[in-house]
Amino acid sequence: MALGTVEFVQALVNGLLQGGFFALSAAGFSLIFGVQKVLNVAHGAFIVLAAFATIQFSILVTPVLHIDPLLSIFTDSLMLALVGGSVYLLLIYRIERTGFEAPLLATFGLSILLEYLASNGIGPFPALDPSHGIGAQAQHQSYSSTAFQIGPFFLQEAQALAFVMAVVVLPILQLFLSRTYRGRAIRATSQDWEAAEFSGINTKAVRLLSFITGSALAGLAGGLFAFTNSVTATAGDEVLLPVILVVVILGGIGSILGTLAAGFLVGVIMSVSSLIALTLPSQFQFHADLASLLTFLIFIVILMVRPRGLFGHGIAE
Amino acid sequence: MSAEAGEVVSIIGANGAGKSTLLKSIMGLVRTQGGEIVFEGTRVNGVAPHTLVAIGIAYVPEGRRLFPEMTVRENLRMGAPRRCPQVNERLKVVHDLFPVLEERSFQLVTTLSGGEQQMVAIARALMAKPKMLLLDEPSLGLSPIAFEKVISVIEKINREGVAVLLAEQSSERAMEISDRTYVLENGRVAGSGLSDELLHDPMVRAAYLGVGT
Repeated sequence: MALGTVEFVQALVNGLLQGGFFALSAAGFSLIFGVQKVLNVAHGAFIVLAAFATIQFSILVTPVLHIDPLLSIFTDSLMLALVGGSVYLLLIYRIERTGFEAPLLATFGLSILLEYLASNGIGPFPALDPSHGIGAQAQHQSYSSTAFQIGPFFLQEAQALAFVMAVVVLPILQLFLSRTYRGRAIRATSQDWEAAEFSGINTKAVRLLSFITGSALAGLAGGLFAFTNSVTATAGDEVLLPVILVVVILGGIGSILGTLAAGFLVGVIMSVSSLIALTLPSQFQFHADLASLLTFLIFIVILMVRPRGLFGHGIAE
Repeated sequence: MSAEAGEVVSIIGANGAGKSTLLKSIMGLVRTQGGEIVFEGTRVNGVAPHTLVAIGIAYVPEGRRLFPEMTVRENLRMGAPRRCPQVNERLKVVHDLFPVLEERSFQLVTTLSGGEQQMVAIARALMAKPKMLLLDEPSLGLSPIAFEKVISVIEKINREGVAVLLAEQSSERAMEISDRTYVLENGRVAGSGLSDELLHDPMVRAAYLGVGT
């Protein structure tokens, strides 16, 4: 198959849109890791939890109240803020001073628990099972599942929304971190929490705030995930977390705008490499894997040249 | 051990005598094994450091501990409380004490010299408008001229009524500007008295001021 300009640009556009979603998914993880050195490996599961909520919303609420399920991304965000806050206070806060291993194991356990709930259903809410089409349900119910066309290019609406959210929300978050007292307190705590504490900053409140903010971002990303992908219970660990790690490390730990740029980069690399894979002879048609292979290769090359990531100061400090 | 308002109290002792640990204990950064820490009549053992700052204790740690990825101005701002209507007046006060910090306002603190960084650390602590200032080894890594500058500021702050607790290896200079001195040895108070008197005590001079008999 020959590679036309239109297809190539379409792949670029898809990559940018998908990249916006990646950036949105990774930003919360990056914030939490930057501030409290906690690797929240349940972040992917948090996103799936939000996607699960949106799917339930589209099954249970939309048919009755005729509300576009796309609006549920905001309730997801609120819900995840609550979940994140509770997880921080009940779980992370008690163990985070012991080093980074305990929170890592605790959030790993949490992600297993969340996956179990998603694959078995929570109370009256049915389980996530794409073979029964439940994973794709949110798309069918959405008034926004349509794609729209700009010139010869097609844009899927939920993906475009993820892109817009990323481009709007992440710079606002960056402004919050650099311009407001609370934002500066978050940065001060991430640079030297003890110094922040004896300078008069309530670092427990700051850590809680960053965990809530990071989790709310997972909620936003998760709601959109329900529209753009077929959601499975283990998608958090199998699909999202690897991409999140790549984006966060490329962007530089704790750098929000770096995360945004890295999200776009990874999105474009993935989408263009799938396109290239499609043009290969049929015996090489394992394109889904080839796309990840190319992405991780480029990731390794970039890290060899710039070990601190593209924009950040890296973990070195 | 005590320090009254308007006093400068120095704490001297060999390396490892417990000077830093004493200040960290007061500041709530290490847990106390026993004993009582009382500030203005209230027991403050186990109180979170940020609460101690709010009630009037400020701390300048050994090694300064500035926020490296922030400007001078941002570092100073972090010393003041979140809601602080007087933040501009306080900035003016510390800029009057250290005019160079005003010029450096928008530079990252890591681009400053050691002496200037020490000034930022002291100024950050002063932004809390403390009643008591704890200083741990402010002379560390400073040229004699820079240290004299710091000393003169400590005296100026003290004249405003702030109690100063000064832990210092350069004991002689610290004792000269302090009213009283405590000598620490293996975590215990081995001696105390008026600084003027201890400065002329041959035992103290021999053991801590490096003066031969």
